[in-house]
Amino acid sequence: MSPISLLPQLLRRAAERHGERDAIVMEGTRLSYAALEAESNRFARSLAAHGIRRGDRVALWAPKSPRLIAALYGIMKAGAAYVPIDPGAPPARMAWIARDCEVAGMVSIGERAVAIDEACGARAPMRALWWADARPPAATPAIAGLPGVPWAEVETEADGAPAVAALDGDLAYVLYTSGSTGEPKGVMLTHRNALAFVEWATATFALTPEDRLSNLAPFHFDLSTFDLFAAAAAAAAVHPVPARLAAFPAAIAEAWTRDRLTVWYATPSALVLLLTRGGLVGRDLAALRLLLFAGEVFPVKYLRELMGLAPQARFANLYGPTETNVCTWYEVPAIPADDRPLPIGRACSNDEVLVLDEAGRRVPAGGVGELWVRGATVMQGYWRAPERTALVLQPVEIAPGLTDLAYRTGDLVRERPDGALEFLGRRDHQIKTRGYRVELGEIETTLLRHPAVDEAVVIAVPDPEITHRLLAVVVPRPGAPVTEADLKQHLSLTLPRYMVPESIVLRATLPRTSSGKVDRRALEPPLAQP
Amino acid sequence: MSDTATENTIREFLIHDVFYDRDLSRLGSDQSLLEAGLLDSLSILKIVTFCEESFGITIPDVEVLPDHFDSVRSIAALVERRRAAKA
Repeated sequence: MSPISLLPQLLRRAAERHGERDAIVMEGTRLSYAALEAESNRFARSLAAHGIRRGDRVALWAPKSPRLIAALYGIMKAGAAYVPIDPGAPPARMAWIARDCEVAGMVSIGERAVAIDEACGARAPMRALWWADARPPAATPAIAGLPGVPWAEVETEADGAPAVAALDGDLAYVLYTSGSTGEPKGVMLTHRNALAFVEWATATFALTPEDRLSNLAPFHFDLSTFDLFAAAAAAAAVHPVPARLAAFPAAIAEAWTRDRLTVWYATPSALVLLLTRGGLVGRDLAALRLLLFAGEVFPVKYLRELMGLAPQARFANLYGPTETNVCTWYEVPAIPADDRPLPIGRACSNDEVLVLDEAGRRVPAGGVGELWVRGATVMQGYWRAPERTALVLQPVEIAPGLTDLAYRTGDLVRERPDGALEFLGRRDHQIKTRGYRVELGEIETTLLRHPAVDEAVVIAVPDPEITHRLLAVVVPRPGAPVTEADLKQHLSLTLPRYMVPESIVLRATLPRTSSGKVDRRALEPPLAQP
Repeated sequence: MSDTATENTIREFLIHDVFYDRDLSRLGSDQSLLEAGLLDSLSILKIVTFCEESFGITIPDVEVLPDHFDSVRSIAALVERRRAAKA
């Protein structure tokens, strides 16, 4: 067995050994591993033909489709890194990321040509755009000088991967995540980073070609790296939920049980919706053998209910920020008897975890400290942001004479007597809502960019189903008339929808602590009422 | 087909409270909300709650399906069916 050092080699191996098996099953379409391998080779050649070179970045901004998956492999085969952008992100955010990451090309769909044109315009130093759908793109003035490559042209390329040198330490993808300073930041991950997790997961969960994996997470969310690459590692099939169904729990529950998926991986928020709104009770879950969740704390009340519906299945909590992918895990041994939160467990994926105090010293077992992660999945840094990277990737003495860079997660944890770690909270203003990671500071900064806003505070109110709801309190500039609707519109132009607070309250002043800081606590109770 | 009062109520809610926009002309009754990726699961829950409260109906979870939420017109049709079911 030749060693795997690049993600696309997982696909090639699956195509060689199990070429006839389903790689992707989506909306009645089945694409075999042989077909996916060939399609991604053709896409890689199309990229090369239009000047995409080793070390480049290519963005994806389109709804999920089998072609988008072929494109993502093709980008890596061309020696470039893929940059998946939230397909629901407003064009201004897409354009910001495309510019920040200096993408050399973009894969999208024809109907978005005008939006890309308006948002990126002449400022996009791209070499070409690829249209992953059959619809011809609308005529676009500013990017008209760029080649727009229809998929029919991709299909004319020869099969066979282009010969591009690459090492496992090269970037495979860049994932943009919320940044506290008001701009998203690009997390740089290599093939080796991803493979350390994928190889661990494939072995630990004994994935086989007989498995059928769900894929609900969008590709800019790192849960998708399990769905796509662990499936390829095992030559199992992945069943991406089409954008049309993704917002409908009843439709997802129907598809997953009808297709007899064996492995489900999703955020607790999504799983709770399947349970409370999807009519999971009464469906046949006999095929489900493994249920994985990550991204936030699973309310035990719902987990218990879910475990009761599929007593034959293994359940595991996977933990890790985008910067480290999954670095600890906890397999739920039995239906929990009480409502104490599940631990995040122990290190995995060839990682090591450390619990350190503010001064960087080890916290004695049982004490509260910050979680640091060292090892194979830890990111290379934030794209073109060495100062921000230096704040979170720091040398830590592991043992006398052994010092290594470790990632400080900002998560506060405590080690239980049995060695499993418990998550206790954050040391900053980063929160989770519906599995999405949000820096409250990014929303506040965006509010402050509105000319009529003097002060802004965003508060995360705990919610039993979606972890947190967002609420904002704004002090308008005197004499500047502004409404809640104005501010929501302002936010929605640059932020994804899940970052727009449900309610924005206007006030003349903000409560302050004796030291003059905004008293966030004082803002919470009256707002917590729905 | 001309737009009904139900359609206009739903359109206004979508524009102001789901898309946080102002311009009502930007949403035709037959425009696909799902193909354009305009709705996420939280938006759907907001629309369901709004319709239940504004039109005095209940929408069972099993009726919350893509075909019923694909356009302003299809949401209005669902509302009318639920009204008829209640009557």
